[in-house]
Amino acid sequence: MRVPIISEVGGVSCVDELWEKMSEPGGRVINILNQIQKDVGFIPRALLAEVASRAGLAESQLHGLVSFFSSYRTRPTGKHLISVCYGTACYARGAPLIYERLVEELQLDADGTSPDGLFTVEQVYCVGACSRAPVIVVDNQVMGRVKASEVPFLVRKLRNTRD
Amino acid sequence: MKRVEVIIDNQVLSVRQDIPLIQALREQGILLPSLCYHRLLGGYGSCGLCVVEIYTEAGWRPRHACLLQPEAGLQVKTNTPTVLRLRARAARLLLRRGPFPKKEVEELLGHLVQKGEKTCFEPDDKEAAARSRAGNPAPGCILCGLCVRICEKIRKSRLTFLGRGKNLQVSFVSAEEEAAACGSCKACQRICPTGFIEPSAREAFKARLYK
Ligand code: SF4
Ligand code: FES
Ligand code: FES
Repeated sequence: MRVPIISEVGGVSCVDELWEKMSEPGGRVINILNQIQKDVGFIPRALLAEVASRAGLAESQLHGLVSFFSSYRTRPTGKHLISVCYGTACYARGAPLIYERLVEELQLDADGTSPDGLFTVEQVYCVGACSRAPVIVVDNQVMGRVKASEVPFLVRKLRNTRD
Repeated sequence: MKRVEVIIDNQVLSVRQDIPLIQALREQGILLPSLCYHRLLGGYGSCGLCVVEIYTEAGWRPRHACLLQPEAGLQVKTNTPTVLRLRARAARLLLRRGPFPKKEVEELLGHLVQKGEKTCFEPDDKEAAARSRAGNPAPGCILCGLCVRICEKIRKSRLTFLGRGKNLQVSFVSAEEEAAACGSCKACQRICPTGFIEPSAREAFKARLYK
């Protein structure tokens, strides 16, 4: 297993360290944000502010940048991340039905997270398995030919897995 | 200050070369409609109202006058049916982002809509207009970017665009030392063409990356 570069949130030193590690100056900011997203699971504001000051940019500029890419998250996700593919094939084969069923079942808030903090649901675009549409990705595992009627069972199974 | 000769609506004029065409024409008393241009901030090309036609190798072509640098021999028409039609189209789209606190803006846009002849390709889609008005989280802001740009220019940089496409909005980013950061200069309020920023940027802009 790869050891995450950022283990704690908010230390000045970790951004400084990352900055030295990332070589190409042009891609530094984006690469560091990617790394933070990977290690922490989202981009905490404190870290974003530090990246900004390290790069000599206004914090507001990075707010704009982060908001542009839907893959960046600004809040922690639930324990389980469910991505519903909204690519053309999946959309045509019923992705919205699955998504709506998830919303109903999990009572998601505006960020797509359930009140108990167990689930986050997001929409993504073509995960590259169109032949198995409609596709959802549950905690990095691709599931094909999903039916909306299976949603409650899937949710129950995930709720019961304890690790 | 270098000047060049250009032809504007069949008249030869000598204009400054170091500023965008829209400004060079302004200084000669020719006023093109515009909402997103400011002489301190340069051309931006977002409102679409300053459109003119220029003569190119391929014939007359529409261009934004705020994004055009005058050069010797440039031939420009500011009032053709094409120009008026494009301005009317831009004005119709901008009107969907209303209503605007400043009534002059409504009047200007309404006037431009009337002056452009509609073609059969451009039905006045009332339903679409109503839909986009209803779905607009910040009615009154045309996203011209003047506030964001002036805030950056004076090196406070508390404003930014957030999101993209139809979710694009201006956002206010608070700072730790608030007193020093925002609220006293009112530069954004003064530059906003529509009067949207009331009573302050913090309150007018609801979108936030971090809630
Ligand atoms: S608030 Fe005013 S200045 Fe800022 S983008 Fe909207 S219309 Fe333009
Ligand atoms: S559209 Fe869903 S996998 Fe391609
Ligand atoms: S003034 Fe040129 S596009 Fe707005």
